[in-house]
Amino acid sequence: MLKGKKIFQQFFAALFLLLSFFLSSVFASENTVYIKGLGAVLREQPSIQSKKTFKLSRGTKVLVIESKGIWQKVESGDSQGWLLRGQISGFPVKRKKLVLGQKIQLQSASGRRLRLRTFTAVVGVKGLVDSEGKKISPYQTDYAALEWLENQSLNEENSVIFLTSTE
Amino acid sequence: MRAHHIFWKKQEANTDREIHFGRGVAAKILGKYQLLRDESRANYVSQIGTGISAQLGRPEIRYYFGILDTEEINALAAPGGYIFVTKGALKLMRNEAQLAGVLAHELAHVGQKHIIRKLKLQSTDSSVTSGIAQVLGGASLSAKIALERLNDLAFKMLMEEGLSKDDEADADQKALEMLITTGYDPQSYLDFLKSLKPHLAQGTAEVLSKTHPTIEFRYSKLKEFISRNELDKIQGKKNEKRFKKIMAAL
Repeated sequence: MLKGKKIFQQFFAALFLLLSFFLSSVFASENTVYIKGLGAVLREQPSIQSKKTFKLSRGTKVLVIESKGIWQKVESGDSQGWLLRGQISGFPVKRKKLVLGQKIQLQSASGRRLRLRTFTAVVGVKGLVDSEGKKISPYQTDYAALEWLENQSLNEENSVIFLTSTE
Repeated sequence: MRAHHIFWKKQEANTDREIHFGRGVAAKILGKYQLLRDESRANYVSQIGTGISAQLGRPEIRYYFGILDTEEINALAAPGGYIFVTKGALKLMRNEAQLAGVLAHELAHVGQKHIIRKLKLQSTDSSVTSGIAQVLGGASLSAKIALERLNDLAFKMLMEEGLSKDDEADADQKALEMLITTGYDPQSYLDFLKSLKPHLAQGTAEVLSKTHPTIEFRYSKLKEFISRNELDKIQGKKNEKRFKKIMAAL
């Protein structure tokens, strides 16, 4: 009888520990956020005029300890300070995705061979037809212009410097 | 492993699909309007946009900013990070803060996945992009045709129906927050909204007037947001000289 009671107590103790771990994990994940961009600076007070105290790099894990309107007070190691809510994300920061470079050859309705990037382009070209010979889309596309635009992509650090510089 | 890490892994896979989808929409925008291949002005717009997105955009996305060679006044965003502003809108702007505000508004649409949500590309597991993933994942012709139909729907939404009033108000508020974060004058954005009004009546901003709520609605929502968050005393840079020098004789 005593042995049965002991097993019963051990079972509930284990259940309690498991539940505590789960709840702490849930609450930790709610308060833990990540610096999503470049140039995030902590401020002493929730005001854009307030003194800057500490710079945080992209991807840094911080803990939200207080909220006030569009401001969030966060803690990172020994540092505490205020950030604007747009500077943080609930998800860990991952590297940028590039959807370029996959060259595809296909044939247009006129029989001309086309070279395009990505499989999105396959059905995106005016004149491309389905198996019954009907045009897939009534709209025109310009993938050459899109590729020109994609080739103009700039360095993020330099752009942030340009943005923060005064005229 | 925590639940949000599991969710993140799934989301990461869907980002590729979102960009593929958005690329198709962007190609249609460029099929309707010519891209202005003016390197100096394109570079300037791109620097402002990239400077904001590097700080406040979705870190997993590479954003592209282009100028559409049309006198129409408008700005557009395709999912996955393709953002456009028209030459007509640039001509109406008075300073860099206004340009930053317009680009930030479009960045907010991409950040909040407003188009994807409006198209209800949502599956039973409630992940917004998994609906796209199901379509884009398929290699068959029918899957590609389905994707093309989705691209057409998104393009039609941008040109005719627009997003919901709430999504537009949300993008305006987020744009204002981005301006404050990057040190720009938030009032300049409100001034730009005001300056749009006569053009909406004249028809030089026909698509914009069809696809966006009234200026009165947007302005009052922003004023409410400013007062609720005590943002009315915030001032910032306008960079009027730099803007005018680059946009002169556009």
